[in-house]
Amino acid sequence: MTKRILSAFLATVVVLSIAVAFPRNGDEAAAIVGDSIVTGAGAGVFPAGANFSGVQLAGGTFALGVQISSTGSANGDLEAQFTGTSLIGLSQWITITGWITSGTSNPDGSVTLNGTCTLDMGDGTAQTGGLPLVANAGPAGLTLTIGSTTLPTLPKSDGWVINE
Amino acid sequence: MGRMRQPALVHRITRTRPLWSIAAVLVLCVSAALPASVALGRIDPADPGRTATLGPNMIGIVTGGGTVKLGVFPDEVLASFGINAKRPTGFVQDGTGAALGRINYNKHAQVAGRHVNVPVTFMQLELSATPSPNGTGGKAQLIGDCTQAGVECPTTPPGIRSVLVYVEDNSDTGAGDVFQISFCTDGPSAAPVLCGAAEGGTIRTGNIQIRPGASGGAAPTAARAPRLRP
Repeated sequence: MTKRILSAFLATVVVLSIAVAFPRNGDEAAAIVGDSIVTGAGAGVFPAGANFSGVQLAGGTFALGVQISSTGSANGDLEAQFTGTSLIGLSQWITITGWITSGTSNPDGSVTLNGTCTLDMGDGTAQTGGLPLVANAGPAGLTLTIGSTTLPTLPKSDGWVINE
Repeated sequence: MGRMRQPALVHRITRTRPLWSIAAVLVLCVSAALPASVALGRIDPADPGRTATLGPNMIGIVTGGGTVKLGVFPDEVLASFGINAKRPTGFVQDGTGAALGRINYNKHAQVAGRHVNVPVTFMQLELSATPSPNGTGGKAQLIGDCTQAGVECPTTPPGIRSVLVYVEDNSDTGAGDVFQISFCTDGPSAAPVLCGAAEGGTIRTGNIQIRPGASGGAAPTAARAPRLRP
């Protein structure tokens, strides 16, 4: 009788020790790994006629660092600055700073990033924050949609957008 | 007399043997359980263990994108940077500071060494003891490898083998964040020492985020602080 009780106790202890020794939920190592890393920095020149809110766009720069997990959630940052000329002929720099919270990799090698952004029109008016942002970045360039407005695509003539 | 004592001793040992067996098994189980979680270097992401100094064992994620201004008028140059760094799968806290990621750095002028495109191979990290409302903040050193195939690094001065990027995440808005880059002639390691003067400084536009573990903060909804314009 004593042996049976002792055997049962020992078996329980062994099972418990195995449960403690191995990872509790199996995702501890995976939690620090995202499925893709998207990094970019570069510049481009807009085609003639590109316009945003009355500003004739000439060119722009961009930079991003985003890590997308297998669930589609993402952490990262995107910054773009477009230069142009206002209606009255003044130089104007439009700055978009985005906080990326989700993203997907596309078959064509581009990525679609979602989040919120701040838009600074560079004309002396107060910048606007909390705007919905969708960005498509890839070998062809950068296309931003702020709220319901899609900005002209900035073709990439220099730099990189690397999805790895 | 000796013959009388021996059976009593045996009896005493026999009577307490189950207790000693249980104790021995418990000791074995505890000694097996502790090394399994500690020696393998597994980290609980919920417990980032914030430190006060840069270290090669800290778990965290670094992301950023923005611009910095280099030089002074009339020779000033704008440069864009995009950075990513994280710990690799199965990261072991053995002091080597292994990391994955990429450094992109692009000077917007026809100057020498205007392109940097290297993988991150090492990282040192410090998480802020007073993180921002979004749970981010800290400092990091990212080390890129110029010796791998297909990378882009400056060729002057000759012998550059690694890139050292130092970043600070001082706010959710990006205001006061820092990006600096320098080029080193020693091979990539967690702490290169043969590095030239750093260029960069407080970022002009953009944002740098340093997060513990794999978790991110909520997106800010308020307008960001006013930023420098050219």
